[in-house]
Amino acid sequence: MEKLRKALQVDIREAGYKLEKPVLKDVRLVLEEGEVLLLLGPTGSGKSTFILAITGILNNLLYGYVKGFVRLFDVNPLEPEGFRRIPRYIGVVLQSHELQIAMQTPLDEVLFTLENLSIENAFEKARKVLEKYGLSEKAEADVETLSGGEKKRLCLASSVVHEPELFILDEPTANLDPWGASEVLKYVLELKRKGKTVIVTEHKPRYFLKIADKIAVIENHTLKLGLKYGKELTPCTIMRAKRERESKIVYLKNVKFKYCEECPLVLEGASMDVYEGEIVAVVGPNGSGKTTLGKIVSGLLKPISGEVKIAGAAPWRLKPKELLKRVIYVPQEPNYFFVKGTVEKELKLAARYGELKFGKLIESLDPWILDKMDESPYKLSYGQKKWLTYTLAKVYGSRVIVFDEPTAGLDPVLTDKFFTWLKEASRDGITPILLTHDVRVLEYAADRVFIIEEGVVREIGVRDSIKVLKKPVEECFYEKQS
Amino acid sequence: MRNKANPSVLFLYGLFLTILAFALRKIEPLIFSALLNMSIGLILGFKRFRFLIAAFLLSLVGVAVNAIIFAGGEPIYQLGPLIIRSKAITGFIEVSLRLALMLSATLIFSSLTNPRDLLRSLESELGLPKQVSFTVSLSLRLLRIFEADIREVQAVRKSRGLRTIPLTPSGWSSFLSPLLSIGLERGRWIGIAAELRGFSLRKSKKTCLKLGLLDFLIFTLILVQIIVFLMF
Repeated sequence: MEKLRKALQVDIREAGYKLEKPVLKDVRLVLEEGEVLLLLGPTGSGKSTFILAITGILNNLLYGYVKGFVRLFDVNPLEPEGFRRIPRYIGVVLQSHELQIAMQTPLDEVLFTLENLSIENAFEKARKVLEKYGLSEKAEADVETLSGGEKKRLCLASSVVHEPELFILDEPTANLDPWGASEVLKYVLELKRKGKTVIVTEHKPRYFLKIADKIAVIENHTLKLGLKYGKELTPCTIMRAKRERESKIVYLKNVKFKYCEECPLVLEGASMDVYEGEIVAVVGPNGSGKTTLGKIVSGLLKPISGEVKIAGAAPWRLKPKELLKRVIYVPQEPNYFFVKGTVEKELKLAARYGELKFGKLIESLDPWILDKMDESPYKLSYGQKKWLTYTLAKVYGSRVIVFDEPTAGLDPVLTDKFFTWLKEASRDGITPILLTHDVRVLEYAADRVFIIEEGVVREIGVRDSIKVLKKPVEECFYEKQS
Repeated sequence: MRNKANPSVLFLYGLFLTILAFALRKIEPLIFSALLNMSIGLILGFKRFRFLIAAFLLSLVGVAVNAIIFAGGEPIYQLGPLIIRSKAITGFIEVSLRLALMLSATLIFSSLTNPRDLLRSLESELGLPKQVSFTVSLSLRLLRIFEADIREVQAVRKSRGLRTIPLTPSGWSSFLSPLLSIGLERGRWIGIAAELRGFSLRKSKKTCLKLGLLDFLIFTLILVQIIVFLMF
């Protein structure tokens, strides 16, 4: 019987960005060729640092350090010469396509990889891989016109085009709707069938549990193999705040919207009612118009026709302070939300608008926020940044909070905490509107769900919506079995 | 013959205009170059880079305030405590024209090329180091994403009850901080992604500068502006 090659051997004693402050300690792992590793861990636990360490990026590019032993096939990525050879062996897809795409068109993006590696017949190969990933018709389109799912497919295409042996996918389903996630899953299944080695880091492990050969968790600086991670969320953990449907707070009727004169309609007659204190989810595929709807509700975009009322008034007719009392918009990317140099100044600004005394506010804050008062909000970890935006949104005291993809990038523990937070906010009379395609939001938080399809918004039962979002991924496994 | 401008020629032209913006001392050739190139730049890039034009117009306010406060010369107009001196007018016009020249260089350069063509051309035809070529070409890509970032920051500012276009220095600081933070993060990760895709292994073959009709037109423009410069 042919003995399998070792794709990855790791024995890291310590690794981190600054000496004396290790992010990883005593990490040991061996991955055989053709195995799929599912790597889990809380936000900020060191999953990305692990990827940076095993690829040699940490010590060769980021001035960090790695003490120990790493072999990718027969290459030592910690040595400068080995580090130079690494791209021939690996294909990497980063969590955010925004942080990966360097060229202006899909064709150029794929060619960039091939030209870097001096691969012959680059043009032909690039066309072929784009066709395979369903992007041939958009090969020369501006990448900014692609949907989120298409951008993710482009990242996959440009990382597989040179046919590497090992693939590293950092949260490949983050920000993707279930249809996009099922596509990613299909590609990973195909890589596995071809005998390629795959490392997947995820916050939504359920997608990859069935195909993973090994599961590892990074927690408390170290890596443990074959462990379950995070406590299981059950509907009992969240008590849904059912309300008497008396006070309607958001009212949309026959709203139409497009971004420019010659652009197609994004919303073609959207109607929805939301009652005070309800937790409402708006679902739909990437590019369906969820963010647009959220921005219309928040008074940031004005529809071309139709009626919009937030607590009885058209949002764009309100003065900024009046609008803020009614509704606030929390974007998916937390960095956009901050306007001050320190956490304390951010909270003081929000408290001023929310007419809260800062001393009183401090008593109700999470302890970690108190420790970070003098720090820049931009320097917090991703999970902390997200949490700070939620805290600030609540301090403003707006009656409606529109969250764009609130659970993207949050680990299961923080996600669970967020659902509890939502329940408390809802009890306080706040109405959270969640623009999402995360099925967990529907399972454990939402009182009502609206779906956007082809520009039309309609209410859908919570159970039905869960089925709709789970179907693409389940079909993926069904196809595999059949 | 090529029907597109050669990215290296465009790069050289952009460099030429930037040098002109700093080097021209006399106002007449500066007016000529600024008007000529601004017209071309606006025709090519008005639709796509409106935010750059808006930023230019905003910067003129700063130029005007600076000229009124610091310029000397004879008083020519008084409005209450505010005295406008002769050099404030000439100073304002001169600095505005220099900024206009730099803006037009950006508009022309960004409108007529794309990151990959530019990267290949700078490496192989001009022989620039790949790191420099990649940085320049990446700036083209980031310029286009930057507009989307600005829109998002403005939306959030409006939602948080702040001005979408700030009026005070601290307002500008709070406006620019998220843009800088996101830009730095993006630059860092695109660099890492490029390294993981073999950028350090990239080799370029030296080739001759291939010129087309548009390139000759650009060289003619350079020549005309040099002649105007020498005339004055």
